[in-house]
Amino acid sequence: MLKKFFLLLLIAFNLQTSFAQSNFISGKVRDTTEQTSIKNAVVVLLDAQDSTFIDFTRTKADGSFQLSKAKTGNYIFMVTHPMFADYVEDISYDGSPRSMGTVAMTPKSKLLQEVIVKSGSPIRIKGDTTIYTADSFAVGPNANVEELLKKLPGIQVDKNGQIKAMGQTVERVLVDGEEFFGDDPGMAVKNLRADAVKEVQVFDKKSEQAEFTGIDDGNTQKTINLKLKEDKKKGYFGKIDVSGAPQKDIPNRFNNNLMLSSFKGKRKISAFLLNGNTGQDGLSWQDNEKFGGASDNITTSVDEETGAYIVMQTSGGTDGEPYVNTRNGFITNINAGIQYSNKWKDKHTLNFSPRYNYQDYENNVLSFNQTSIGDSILIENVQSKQDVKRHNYKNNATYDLKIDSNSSLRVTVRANFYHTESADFREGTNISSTGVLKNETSRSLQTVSDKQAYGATAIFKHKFKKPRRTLTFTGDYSNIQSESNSTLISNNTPYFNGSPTGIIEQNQQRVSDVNNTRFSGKLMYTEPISKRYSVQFEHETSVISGRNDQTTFSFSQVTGKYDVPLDSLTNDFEQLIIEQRPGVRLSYNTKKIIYNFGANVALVDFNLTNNSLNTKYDRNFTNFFPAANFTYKYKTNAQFRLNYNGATRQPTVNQLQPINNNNDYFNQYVGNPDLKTAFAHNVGITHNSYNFLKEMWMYQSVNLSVENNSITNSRTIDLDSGKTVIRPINTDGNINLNVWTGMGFKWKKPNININFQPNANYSRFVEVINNRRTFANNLRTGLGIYLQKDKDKKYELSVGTNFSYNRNTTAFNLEPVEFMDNNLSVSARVFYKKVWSLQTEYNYDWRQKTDQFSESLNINLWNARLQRTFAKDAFTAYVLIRDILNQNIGISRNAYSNTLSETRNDRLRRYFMVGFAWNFKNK
Amino acid sequence: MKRLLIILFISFNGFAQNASAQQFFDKASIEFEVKTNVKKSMGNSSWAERMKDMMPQFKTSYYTYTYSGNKSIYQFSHWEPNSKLPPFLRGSDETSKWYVDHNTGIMQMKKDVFGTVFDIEDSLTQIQWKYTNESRVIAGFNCRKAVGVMMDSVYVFAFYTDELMISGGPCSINGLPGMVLGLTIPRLYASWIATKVNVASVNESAISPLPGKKKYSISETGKLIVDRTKEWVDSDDPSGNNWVDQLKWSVML
Repeated sequence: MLKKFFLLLLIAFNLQTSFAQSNFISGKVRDTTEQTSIKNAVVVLLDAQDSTFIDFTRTKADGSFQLSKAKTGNYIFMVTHPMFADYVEDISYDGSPRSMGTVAMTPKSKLLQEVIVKSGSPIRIKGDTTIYTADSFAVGPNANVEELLKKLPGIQVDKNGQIKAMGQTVERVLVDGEEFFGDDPGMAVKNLRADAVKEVQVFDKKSEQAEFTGIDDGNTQKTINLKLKEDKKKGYFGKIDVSGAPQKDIPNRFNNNLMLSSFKGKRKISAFLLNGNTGQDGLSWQDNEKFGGASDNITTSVDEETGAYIVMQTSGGTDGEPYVNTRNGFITNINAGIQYSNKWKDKHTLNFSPRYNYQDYENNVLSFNQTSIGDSILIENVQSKQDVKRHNYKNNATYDLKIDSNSSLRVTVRANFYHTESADFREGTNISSTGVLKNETSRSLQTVSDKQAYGATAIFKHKFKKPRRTLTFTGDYSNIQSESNSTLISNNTPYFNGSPTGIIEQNQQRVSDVNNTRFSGKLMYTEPISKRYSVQFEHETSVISGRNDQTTFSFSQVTGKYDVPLDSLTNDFEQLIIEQRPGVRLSYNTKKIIYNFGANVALVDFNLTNNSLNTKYDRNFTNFFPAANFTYKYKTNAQFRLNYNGATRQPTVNQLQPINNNNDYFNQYVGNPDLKTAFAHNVGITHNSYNFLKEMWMYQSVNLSVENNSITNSRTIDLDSGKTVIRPINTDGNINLNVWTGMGFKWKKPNININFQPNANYSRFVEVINNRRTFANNLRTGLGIYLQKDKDKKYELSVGTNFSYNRNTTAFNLEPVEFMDNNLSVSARVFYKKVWSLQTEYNYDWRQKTDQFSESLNINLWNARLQRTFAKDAFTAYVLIRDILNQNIGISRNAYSNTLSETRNDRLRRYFMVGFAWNFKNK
Repeated sequence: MKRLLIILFISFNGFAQNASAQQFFDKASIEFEVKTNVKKSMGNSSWAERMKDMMPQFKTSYYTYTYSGNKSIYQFSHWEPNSKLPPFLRGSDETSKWYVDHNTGIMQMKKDVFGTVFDIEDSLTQIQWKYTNESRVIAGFNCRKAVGVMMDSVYVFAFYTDELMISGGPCSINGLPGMVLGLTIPRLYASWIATKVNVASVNESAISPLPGKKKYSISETGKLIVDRTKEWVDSDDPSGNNWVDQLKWSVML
């Protein structure tokens, strides 16, 4: 049986390499003391030069063996057996059959008796790692590690560079636990400076395994690990990108970026300065990673149930500042920031990032708004000009403390300051479809405001010994104070049957002082109740208190000052909202199926005091938030999800009792103190899958939401003057259904990536105009197709098209409003000799001409950039032209209920620039 | 070694008197403890750095190698109790399997790559082994050390015992005159060590060829991995290329 087995083994090896059968070495292995044949001994032939295995076999029952892979040369012939001392002999083989005769083996037991402990079973050395602190041993200023080692007691370095530690040859030298590859341990010691080394560690087998540096091969060799000083790991890198050019007839264009980062051990300092007038506002995502300290806004956590990693990116809080789309209008800006981070003992981490931002923004907007009320149509045309100057100074500091392996604390503190000066001029008319004038307005609004926002958050997390049992406490404080002073000068003329009915002039100054503070504390506890089930309890208490003091004065012709108080526009509100929010959730978790369900209840005590009118508004709300999720992962990269959540929507302060605002005379908002809470149900189904081999991904999602008692704006429109009063009311019957699907795959032969993204959205909502209640229906369907083909360092090509169709019906429109639009984009980049590249993008926006939009707005936008890199991409010189066809304009078209709107923003038109970029780093 | 359950050395002295007694095993079931330094294997992209803060240093799993005669199967058994690993680090271990038939020189592997299962069939991986004059005891077996190079440039450090008669080892490791009980692959930041060797009751029925529709060769698989991931990393980025290499080697191993 065993014979057969070994024959097969021999055949198997011979099949693999098929050597000539005439070359063989044979022999017999015998026990010297017992004079018996030794079976199953391993007979090995090693290359004499480097000990490579050439051939091996096992002896048969009669002790015989035959090796057949040897060619002419020198070999080490070795026979091993667990019971016997190794037999080793150097042989020179001439390529003809050779017999080793009888190989005599000596039992280990005999050796042990005779030689005592000399060889055979391995000797274990016990004891800890020996560590030498490098600084304690004086060496010359530019000495290398070898010279350092010579000084260490117990370590010798001989003339040939061979190192011995405790009398044993050191065969490997690690640097910070990493192996310097290659067989020569001298590599590391000769090439590293002694003053970079913090410690020299001499390992023995046991401690090496305990340490497990990632290179543990269970070696019994002596190993030296050189631990480097943290401050010797230092360096810097950065980027300078400057571009600009004089322009004809328009302001000169420029855009400059300077970024620098330096690190020393765990300490990192980065700084950036961006300045330009081409619309770049802030660091790109990649640069933010390198220079901006994006980690401030990113929190990573582990879901205790699924083990999934959750990465959350928060915007960092806007403190209620308006968003400026810098693609529209003209902006000149400065962005500057510093980021400091450091880590001590792997326990304390500190991040501090002050930032400064200045924006000088100017925009001209033309907007068109058409509202249908039965057979009446109101057409509003507004021309406006905005001029804004903003300074922001933001500070953010984060401190992380790893208390122990189970507890951690993170404290974030922020202090942000804003100063804004803005001027807004608008002129508008409102006419009927037959051209009869309804109203005319002209307005100037100038505002100066200052805002301070302070905040602090502390998160404490603790994991208990029992897996999945955790406790988390979050405490949060925030305070926003703002003061503003605005001057409103407006002339508003309502018309009746085409004739003006008087003029309403406003010349007022408003001083507003707002101060809001929020405190909250949240405790969350997770308890495993079985292998698969766990339960989570949480409770949050929050207090919001605030005051909104607004005083308005009219201009007095007599005194020439704003000193006539206007009671109707003067308010002093105080609010106090106290909320208790307990919640419970049950989770079930297996590899394939995960589900959870639970609910939160919010008990809200809502107090609003109007100090000006001496009125009080006290209400209690009980809000309910149920949620359930079900996930079925039928493959590692494919899953199906079903989720439901319900939410009570409480009216906001502004909906209940708004602060009077007359900035837009013909559109005014009034509150409704009788509003009830609304309740929204959302159901979502999603499926997604990904196949690595086929390079195919897809997803499908369907979302349905239904809202009861929904808070909707009811509009009262005076058909003669076009004046609109908006008031929130409760309505029923709002529905939204959304379908998103996508699919991407690779078309193998031509190597093209293809993406399809069909989508559809249907919504129905209650519309109340002049107390008439109807449903508005909106259907939007779209299809996106995207093709892309790349060849690394040769070319990149992509073509995309996005089509959408809109259809709106409402009782207020006599016929449905329908329109289509399409966006086509083509982008190409070609490389020449790796250093030259030409890049171009073309965008074609097509919007259908309809009855309502008499003009079809088609815009061609074409950009190009030519660049050459030098010195392995360290330097780049480029020229670029934006908007070659000089057609750029920012247009958005919207159809909503019975209104159609179109907005046109000024944008940067054709300009060209010459630029130069330098990417640098040490080493 | 602490976990050694089966004491194999019944009586060392008894054997010394009679060297031809049963000392060699042609079937056994071996449990390996596999440790991977996940923090090191993740590289140091900003994403990886954030993940590392919440990760254990090591991924520790247990695999079972069962052989009888010249055929073997190697597959995942269980995770270290209470290990906290994100799903993306677990999938490939739980799915992967290796079947080797040393008689025919053919091996089969089942590998999970980002959720897609590859069935691989090829001849045994060629490893160039060098003998070293070192030894250590693993799971009660005296092992000798050999250093090998596979897949052109990947160094492997192995400890094999001639008492277990198959020329095998964890994953596709083979070609030494005995069974590999300890293994380290520095470039994959991983080590394997036998913690139990059971020679008494070996479940031979577990050793059967792997089913599979389309079979890829090892080199084909390696090429597919490189091809499918080439757009994921910048070709100029050494750490990105390193990541692709690690992925490729771990799939080909």
